[in-house]
Amino acid sequence: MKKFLLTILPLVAALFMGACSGDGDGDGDKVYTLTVNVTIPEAYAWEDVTSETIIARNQLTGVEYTGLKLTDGVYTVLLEPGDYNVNALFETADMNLSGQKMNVSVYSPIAVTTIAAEESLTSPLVIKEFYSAMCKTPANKNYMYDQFVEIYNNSAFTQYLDNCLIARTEIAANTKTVLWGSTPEEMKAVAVSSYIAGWVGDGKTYPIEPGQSVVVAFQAQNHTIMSDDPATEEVEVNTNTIDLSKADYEIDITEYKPTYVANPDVPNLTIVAKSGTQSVNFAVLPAFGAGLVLAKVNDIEAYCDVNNEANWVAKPEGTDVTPYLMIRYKDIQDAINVVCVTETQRTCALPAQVDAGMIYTSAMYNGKGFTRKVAETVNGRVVYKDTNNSAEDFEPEAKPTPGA
Amino acid sequence: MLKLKKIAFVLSLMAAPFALNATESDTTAAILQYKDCMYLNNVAYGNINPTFIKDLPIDAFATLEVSYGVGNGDFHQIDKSGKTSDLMVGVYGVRKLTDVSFEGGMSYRNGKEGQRKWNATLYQSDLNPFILADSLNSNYSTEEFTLDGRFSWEPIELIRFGVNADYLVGTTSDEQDPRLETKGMRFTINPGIDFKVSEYVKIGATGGIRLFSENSKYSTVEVGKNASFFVMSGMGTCMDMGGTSYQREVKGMGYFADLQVFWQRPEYGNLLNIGFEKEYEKATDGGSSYQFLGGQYNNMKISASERFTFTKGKFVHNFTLAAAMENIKGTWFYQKNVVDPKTGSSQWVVMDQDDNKHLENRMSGNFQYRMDVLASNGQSSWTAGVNADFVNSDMKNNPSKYYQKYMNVKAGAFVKKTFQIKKSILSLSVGGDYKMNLSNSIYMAPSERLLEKYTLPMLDFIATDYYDVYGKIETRIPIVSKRFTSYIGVFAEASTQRYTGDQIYYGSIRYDKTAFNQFGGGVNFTF
Repeated sequence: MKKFLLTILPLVAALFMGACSGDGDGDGDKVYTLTVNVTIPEAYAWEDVTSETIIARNQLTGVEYTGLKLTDGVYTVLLEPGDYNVNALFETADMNLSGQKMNVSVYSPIAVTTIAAEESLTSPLVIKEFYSAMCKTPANKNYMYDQFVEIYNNSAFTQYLDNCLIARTEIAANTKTVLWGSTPEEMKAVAVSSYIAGWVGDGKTYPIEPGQSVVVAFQAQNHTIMSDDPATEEVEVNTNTIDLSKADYEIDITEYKPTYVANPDVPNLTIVAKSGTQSVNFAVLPAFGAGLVLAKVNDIEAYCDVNNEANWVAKPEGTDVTPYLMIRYKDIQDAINVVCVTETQRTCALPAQVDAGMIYTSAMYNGKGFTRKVAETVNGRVVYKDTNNSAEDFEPEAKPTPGA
Repeated sequence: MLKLKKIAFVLSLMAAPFALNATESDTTAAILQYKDCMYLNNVAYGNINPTFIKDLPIDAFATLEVSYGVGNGDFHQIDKSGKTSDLMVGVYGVRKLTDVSFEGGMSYRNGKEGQRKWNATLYQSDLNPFILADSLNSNYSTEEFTLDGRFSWEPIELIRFGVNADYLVGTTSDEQDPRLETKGMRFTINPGIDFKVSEYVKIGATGGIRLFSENSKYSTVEVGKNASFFVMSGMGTCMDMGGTSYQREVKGMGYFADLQVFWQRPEYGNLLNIGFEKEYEKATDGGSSYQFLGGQYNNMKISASERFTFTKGKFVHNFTLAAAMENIKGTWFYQKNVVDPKTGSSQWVVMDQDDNKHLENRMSGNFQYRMDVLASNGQSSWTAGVNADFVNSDMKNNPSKYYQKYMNVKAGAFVKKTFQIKKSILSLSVGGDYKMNLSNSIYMAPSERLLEKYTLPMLDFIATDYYDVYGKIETRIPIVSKRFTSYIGVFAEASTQRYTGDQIYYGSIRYDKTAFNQFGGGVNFTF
């Protein structure tokens, strides 16, 4: 017995030690290198580029890898084997440059691809649907609390809503005399007014996946329920409007309008600034229209700080000396000229380089909105039409379908 | 009932001639406490080598049990349900003839799990990282059938042969989009042998294979509704194969070998078991329309267990020490969807593979001490014990160099008193455990899609501290007739598992003041 134990115990010890050692720690030998060569238009020099980002997104897993700069126009991305969509995003003082290469296969330790970045006419974030006409109550009164904007990631890459803002232009569709002179042209910027609401995060706090959208409600309530009296069990319903109680965000203006009723279950956007002196009852657009702006800046709080005089400008003409926040065209992700069916109220607040068209509903307070047209479907992901011409890109008179 | 009586009568007639070395009252007492009796009188009880059932202390009995239990509470892993119920019907029996002994049983379980998500598997290994899952809560129904049996044959005094077989088959499904139906099967067969090398010592060996297959099908009924089907590749890294349906088939096989050194004297006994096991599970997705490889799990396990028992007067002492080490490797296949230009059909082609995609070194240990005080009839009157468990896991997920590590210990104690009331028994048992996390750490990129939704909550539960308390009351009453004696039993049990930690793991307070409570009861008929 003793002999047997003396024989078997070393064997047991050897087995255990073998299990401990394993065969290598496997520290990820499947890390391959993709070299990305990027060219930019001749009108630009590499010194003009203030920001550069290279992202490779795995087509199967959705994992994104960021490139490291080797020299001007040459980047390297460390990634796992797979097929990738590679995106190059550059910023200059006046213009964004971008380029994309789809279906880049990386199945060997070293792979190379080339991207030609061009002046960017489209943006990854678009307004998929919005509703600003508002509606009538059953008693035929104007109801002004049910506006919403749905923002969609139209790209093949994860985008972040951090530092994005939603605002309306100071110039409304019924503005008879525009008093901004040459300021917008010189600054390449548009003045916005009222509540400027946005996402304040660390840059990656609010991701939005490709093909996903978020609904921003002015007031995230079920607006179809006008009243619900538990005593009498009588429910008054407004079929002209919509249920926004499941919106992703709402714009809480309680600070400015104490009668505003917030939904505690829906997170608020931060009102980063209030531009102009008016405190209106609605958060997005007036019923007769204005320019709707979705922009992304570098640091939303610093950009919108009223002490940042470079971004707050008063009208050069007229008597209004109030400074307004200026949003630069290059920061605009999407913008739409919303005007009124009445031809005398069709002043376009946004220049053609931002929106070459205009859209309107057949009447104010008719409960109708606008939905963006579908351009194509890529690998199951819907890509919406984005030609920077709202008249071409949107279907008007659409029944609002937030989140659908 | 009449049929059961007939079966009981036939079995008792068969058993009667072999009731050796025991008075009728001794046999009654042993059958009334058959679990304790078999544990205390066979140091190899429960060993994987089937030859040792020849040493079972009871010659013949069978039991039929029906039980029902419910569970409720928020303290559970996120891929488990917080509301469960189980109906179980099972039979188990032992029969010893002159040279051959049999042991076996079968059972049926019908379970309900409310609001469960994040795991579509049924019998796939818990350590296999390549799972299929959806993120929507659904109410699941599970039906399961088990069949197990083993025999031991002693042709001559020096050698014994045996064969063990276990079969498990089941299905789980839900009726809410996306609808899942998973069917699974596990089968194990292992022949065994032991040799008598001296008067008190036997050397045993057994080896066998395990077969596994599982088929999961997701579908949606609501038109135009897409769902996310997560094809996991470890630590919550995943691909979202969204759509209206998805299908996966997993096949696996394992083989194992165990050696035993068995030593038994009248007042002492010892069993040393050394085991080695290797298994794989490979997932193939897509059914007949296409084939996408969903990862291969490989596990190599080495284990050792040692039980020592000695009797002094009325006291029986048992010490058990067990340890296991597992080396897990997950292989991921990098595949490309290629369209055949001639036929227009597409297929997935393996372009590369990473054998170190998911790695885990896992070590576990267990110590138990149990003391029994025997009554005059030779059966346990008092039982008390302590136990301690240890587990250490070191996991890596490549090529991103993600890692997760944790070390947990659990200590517990229990006591059981069995009262003899005339010819019946009444047992009361209570116990408790305290589980504590000694260390844990994790690294994963914040941009990983399921980091907040799956990976961190899973580790949160693994790393929680908790205590559990349980109690059971059980009675067995003999029903003596002229032809044979049978026993009817009733039991009720309850347990609670309660979170005690005050840490906020990874920004989560999801388990604060939570518990999981279980209640159950049943009846059994033994003859």
